[in-house]
Amino acid sequence: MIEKVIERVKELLEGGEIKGFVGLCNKNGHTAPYLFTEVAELDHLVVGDFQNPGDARYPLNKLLIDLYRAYPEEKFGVLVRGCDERGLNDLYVWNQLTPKNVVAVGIPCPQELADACGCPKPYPDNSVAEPIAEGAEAQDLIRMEALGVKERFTQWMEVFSKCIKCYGCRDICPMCFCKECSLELDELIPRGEMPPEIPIFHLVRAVHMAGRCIDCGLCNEACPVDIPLRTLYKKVGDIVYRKFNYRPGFDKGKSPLNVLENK
Amino acid sequence: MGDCHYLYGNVATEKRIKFMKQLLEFVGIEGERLRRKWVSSAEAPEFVEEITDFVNTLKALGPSPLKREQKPDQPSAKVAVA
Ligand code: SF4
Ligand code: SF4
Repeated sequence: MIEKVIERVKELLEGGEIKGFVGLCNKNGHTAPYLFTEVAELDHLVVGDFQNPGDARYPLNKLLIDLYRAYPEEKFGVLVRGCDERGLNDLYVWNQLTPKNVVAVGIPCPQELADACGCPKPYPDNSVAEPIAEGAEAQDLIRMEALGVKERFTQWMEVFSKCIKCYGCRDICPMCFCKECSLELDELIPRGEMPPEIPIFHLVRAVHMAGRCIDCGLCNEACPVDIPLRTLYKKVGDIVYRKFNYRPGFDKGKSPLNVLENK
Repeated sequence: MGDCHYLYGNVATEKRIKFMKQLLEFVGIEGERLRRKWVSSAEAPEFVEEITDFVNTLKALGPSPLKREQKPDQPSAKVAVA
């Protein structure tokens, strides 16, 4: 897979189609997001599958937004999995990126990763290879929904109470692009107050992800106290789909929750 | 619907409340604790009726799981009236 990615990026860089490529770089045993601008650097390009697929995932689209804000005229390439491509689609809807400034270089995820994520579409449309996995069911969500309302309350409050208000979930989220954040609004979440009030802190974020979360699970991975945030946001996505028939990153147009019209 | 002083305010509210009720249920807070009714400022009796009904619903539900130390006759409520 990596050879195909390198080949494609090389083509894009050599042809001058893109100014740089936002991908993952492995150097001295560490993997980190990196902006590749020279073909010679591509030896260090990796897709992040080490012991297990998807071991290193980063919100590359978030870096792309920063690049776009700084260099609105330039075109950049970006490494995407299925979820990241959903993210791109939705970021176009929100005018945080424009398709003409982006070239997605996609990789399909293996079934193992798709199952672990409960990912609805573990492959991007713009891909260097054919899909190798099918969409998977969100088992965690099904399990949680099977519980009674009281039991759910106990379980959520127990995990929310571990929150150290590090803002990691927000900071890593590729769909959190607001310049001002409600999680720092004194009226909702008083600054300096620790631990945060629960479940308000988590529900405020959940509400704001409605019609926006593309189900990448990075928040879940980033949370230092293992709050099953992905399960919460999967439910957010599920409600928006059931009630408003809208899936961020799949469906064109804005989320019905953000359309200010009489409909 | 749509006949709102704040243009599309009630349309947006309706959507959010629909969403929020379900989200509350998912985290274990009964959706009935959140209620949305349209009452004009000129409809005092309707307003009273709605609130009374809501209070009865809340009493039947018992104290909110979020309020632990609570007098039994003062159920906590999350009210949204638009
Ligand atoms: S899964 Fe988490 S990090 Fe990913 S888009 Fe949704 S809220 Fe953001
Ligand atoms: S990443 Fe986890 S601990 Fe940090 S603020 Fe988010 S929920 Fe709380």
